[in-house]
Amino acid sequence: MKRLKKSLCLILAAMSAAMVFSSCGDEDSDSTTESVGAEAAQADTSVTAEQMADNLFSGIEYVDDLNTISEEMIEKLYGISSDKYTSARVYVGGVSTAEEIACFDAVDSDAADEINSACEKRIAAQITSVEDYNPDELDKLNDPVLVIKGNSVYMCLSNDNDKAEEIIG
Amino acid sequence: MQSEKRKVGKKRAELQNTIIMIACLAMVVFVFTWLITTIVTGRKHGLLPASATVESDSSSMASESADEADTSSEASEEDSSVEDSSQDDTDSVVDEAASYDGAADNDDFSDACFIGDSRTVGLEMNADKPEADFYASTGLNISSAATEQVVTLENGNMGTVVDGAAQHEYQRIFIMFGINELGWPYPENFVDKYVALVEEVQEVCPTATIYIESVLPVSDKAVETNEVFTNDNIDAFNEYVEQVADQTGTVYLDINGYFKDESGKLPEDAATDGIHFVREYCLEWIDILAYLAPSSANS
Repeated sequence: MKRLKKSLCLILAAMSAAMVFSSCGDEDSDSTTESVGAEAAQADTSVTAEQMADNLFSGIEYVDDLNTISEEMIEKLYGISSDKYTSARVYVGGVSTAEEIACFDAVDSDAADEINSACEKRIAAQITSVEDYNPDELDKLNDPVLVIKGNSVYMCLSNDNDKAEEIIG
Repeated sequence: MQSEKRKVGKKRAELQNTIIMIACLAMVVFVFTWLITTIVTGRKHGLLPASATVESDSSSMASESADEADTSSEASEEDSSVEDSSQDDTDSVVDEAASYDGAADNDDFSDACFIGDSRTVGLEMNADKPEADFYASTGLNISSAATEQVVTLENGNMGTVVDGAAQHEYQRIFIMFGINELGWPYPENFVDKYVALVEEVQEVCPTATIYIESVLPVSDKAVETNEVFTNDNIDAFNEYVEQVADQTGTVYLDINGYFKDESGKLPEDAATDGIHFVREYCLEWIDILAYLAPSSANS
């Protein structure tokens, strides 16, 4: 009986240890969407605009279903041609919210200023578009996250500006 | 005295063993429960949404959504002005989905423009047709469309949707209005104003084929926004939309039925607010338009 108890205890101890380790591992993978963005952006200065956009996408909870758009569509919606940047990624939703992510690595500081102006223009257009139709969205448009870091321009229209700023760093 | 102590010690040891035993058994139950839960759920929590990781192509998405959602279709109907006919035969629905699936892949819509409200804005943002022109605005209705300057024209000025359409010799013009007019007390007004707008478009684009799209369905969530957003209202309103096509000699595109599920509604996953289509459904929408109204180059 004692032996049985001892072996049972040993088995359970081993199982518990395994469980603790595995749950730690899961914790990491589960929280990836929230922590990767901030850490990657803050620690790694070589993060590209595409990666930054992905980080902003995965690190923040959005109401709308956001998807990336093509280079041609970026030019159509933002008026920014591909010769102005080396890397870019834009996420748009449907029309149910004003949520949007736009990140660019401009070719130089002049291009970065142009891109920043284009983003401001886009925000202004969105304000006109929602002010009568969907005024709840005005909060995020009137207080957008729009940051220039070096030659990179990051825009994030979401319900969580603190998180967006933390991710951008 | 010593034997007394030994007895107490023995009892204490037995008690400790029993407690450990009970704790171990509880642990066994917990571990097995955890294992079963893990196996069943597949530990899906924390994974990225599909749209973050999958850059699906339009054809596969259109096919998938059509398989799921489109149960009331127009079968192999090529005449776009024909009325909606419900289909019970699932096989034919799949066939129909297969027939328009990917139709927009070889159609850049560079000969086309789109006029409409916020739903058309959503199509512009998600259908990936940068060569097409969109003269649409959120909140626009058939009355304001005639007067409000919501379009940035190529000369930099602002203009109406008709001013936008007048900029090129389009071959195809797709128009959709109706969702913002559902609450109008006199639908006859809607017909009159719609006819007037279409006639203006015909005047500035005399060679274009004008397609009047039926109002798309909504999901139950739409009613939360406004009680007029019901599929019964939309179905009734589409009869007026069809009247507009009849009166103006334009082509009525009854695309509403393509997006209804078994219960006659837009599937919940098609629109986050029940009204404005997400990308997957916008791609299906553009496929259907390319299929029903192909460009002269593709027909």
